[in-house]
Amino acid sequence: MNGLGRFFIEMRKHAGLWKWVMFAWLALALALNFLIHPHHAHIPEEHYIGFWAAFGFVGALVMGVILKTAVSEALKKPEDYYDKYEPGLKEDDNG
Amino acid sequence: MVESFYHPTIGFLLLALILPFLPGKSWWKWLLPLPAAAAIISVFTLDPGNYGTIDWFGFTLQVGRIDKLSLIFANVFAIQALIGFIYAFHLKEKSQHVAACLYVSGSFGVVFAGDYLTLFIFWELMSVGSVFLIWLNAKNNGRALGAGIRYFLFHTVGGLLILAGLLLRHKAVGNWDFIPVAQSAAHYYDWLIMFGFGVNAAFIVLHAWLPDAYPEATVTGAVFMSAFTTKTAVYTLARGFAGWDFLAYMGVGMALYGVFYATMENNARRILSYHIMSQVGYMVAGIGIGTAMTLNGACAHAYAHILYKGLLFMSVGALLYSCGTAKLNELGGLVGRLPWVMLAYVVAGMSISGWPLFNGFVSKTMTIAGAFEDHRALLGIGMELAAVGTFLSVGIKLPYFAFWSKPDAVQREIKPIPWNMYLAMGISSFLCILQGVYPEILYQFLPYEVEFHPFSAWQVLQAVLLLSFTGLAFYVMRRIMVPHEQRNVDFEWFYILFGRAFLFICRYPFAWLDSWWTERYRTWGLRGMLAVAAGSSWYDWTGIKGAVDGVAATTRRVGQGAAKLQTGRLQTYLAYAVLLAAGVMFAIWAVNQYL
Repeated sequence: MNGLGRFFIEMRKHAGLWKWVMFAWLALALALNFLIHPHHAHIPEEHYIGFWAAFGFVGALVMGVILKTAVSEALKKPEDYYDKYEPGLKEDDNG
Repeated sequence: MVESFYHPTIGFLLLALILPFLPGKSWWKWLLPLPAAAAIISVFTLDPGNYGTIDWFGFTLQVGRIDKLSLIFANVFAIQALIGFIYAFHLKEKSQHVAACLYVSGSFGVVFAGDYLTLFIFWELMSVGSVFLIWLNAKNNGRALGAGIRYFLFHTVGGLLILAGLLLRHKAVGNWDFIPVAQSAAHYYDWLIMFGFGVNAAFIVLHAWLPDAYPEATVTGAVFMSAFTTKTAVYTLARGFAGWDFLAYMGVGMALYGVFYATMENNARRILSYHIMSQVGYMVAGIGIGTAMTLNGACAHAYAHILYKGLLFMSVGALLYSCGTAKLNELGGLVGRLPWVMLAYVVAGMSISGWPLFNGFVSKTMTIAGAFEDHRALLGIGMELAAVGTFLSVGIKLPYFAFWSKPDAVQREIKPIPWNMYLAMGISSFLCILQGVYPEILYQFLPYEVEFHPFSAWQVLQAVLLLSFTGLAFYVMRRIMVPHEQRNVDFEWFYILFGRAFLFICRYPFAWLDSWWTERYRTWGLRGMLAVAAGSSWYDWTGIKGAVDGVAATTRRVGQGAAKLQTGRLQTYLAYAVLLAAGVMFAIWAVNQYL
């Protein structure tokens, strides 16, 4: 393991600290939204403070939850589902 | 009109031709970067114009249409080719380099083709070259053989759509000119050609070859494939079909569809494959909206995408190379032992997600802003949502589960990564950041005159808000996002259904017809044959016994030679067929030229 690797491993031990760094970053971005506004809004909703923050958060949450719990369950097959059609796979070989 | 002109295809073709005959174990690998270096010099020194036509069999092939649109694609192709060959520098198998050379040479041919006929020839060359980048992985990966066959079948169908379209078009309009057509003025043959390009661009429904094939290709092959196939399709769509409303909706659909599947996927290279579809969706949407700004956005995004997507495939390829798997549920905690790979990946992940100061930001915002400015709010919102999904799945999920989530599995053996792979990743990372910080470096190549400044305070803050809170959402649901070992069925399920229906028709109705005919033939045909045979055997004994013996010996010798060629492997036959076709084409050209 080289020095850079050790540095990252060390940083990982401070996950709790990094969590607060992330929260501070989010708060800072949101605070800046009070000062910075679009000149030519693409859509009227952009004028609301935190619109894009909410869009990102809710969008990702809805997407993640629906896809990972419902859609993925509906579409899921075993990893080797198609292997019976694979001309290159023998019985004892699973790729 | 015709000045001297170095066509980048020449160098790659030449190397592909001589490489198999070069003796020695590895000195020849220093030749690998040369065609790409020559291509870089060529694209930076070429002035727009029409160069080079070849008379071939009564057709005039226009092989050198150079304008700003073809140059920007050729420019990034040349740079990515150099990076790709540096990444593949350690490979001792010449066949992989030959396949990559043929593939890359085809892509330059397509981009500089001025007419449909020339385009079609190089299009097929690309298809053949790239399929070997999958097949050559067959000894490491049992799924590569089948994936290659399916890939080739699909691209053959795409090629046939183009061929049918261009022949019908020629009958209707009397020329092969590859020029723009408006959707309102389009005929059915234009649609055929457009869908033929759509196969390579991975339109929804036609896309399943991509996540099927790319994860099974060789480590270095996937790096090449991620750059050229879909982006030549983007070029052809931008050239011929700009402003088609159909493409605007298809593009946004692709952008979303790709991220949806990527969010569910476990195999890292399949995640990246779905993200090709998604990112190409932005370009297709930009082309479909068709304003100068969105067309510029599509070209800029293609340029940026080739660099960061190559970097994504290189860093995930490095994981696969050193750990032997690209499945997220089997990886984890690798940051300690592969920190530089992690950094390269993060640069690429920030770029594809469109973080400010990385090159995806300066290109993606252009397309999205262009959509809003053209009052296509719904399309713009769709692309913003796709950006959220992009950061969620490829920006956070993949690196988190590959490098951070679990403690490192210390018993895992890690193969050292060759220096050249690190060098290639370093160059790509540098370029992704350089273009992100100095967008003019990228914008100077754009085909249209547009004023666009990505670094307004609001645009930067908008991106930061959107992506940071996507990150918060991931933090909240990180336990839901854990990848599982599973295969998510996609449209390949329908392809297989179709294939099985075809097989059924062959196996039962046709087989019945065949056996019925065989039975009739046996009763009636054989009687006649026996009578003929009786007559000819008399003739044989009395007349030509001696002569036949000599012929038989010759036939046996030829047969033995041919048997060596008949390995029963589709890939071998394909290689012979291509060699033969190339030989015939060259012969016809030479005869035409000098006699």
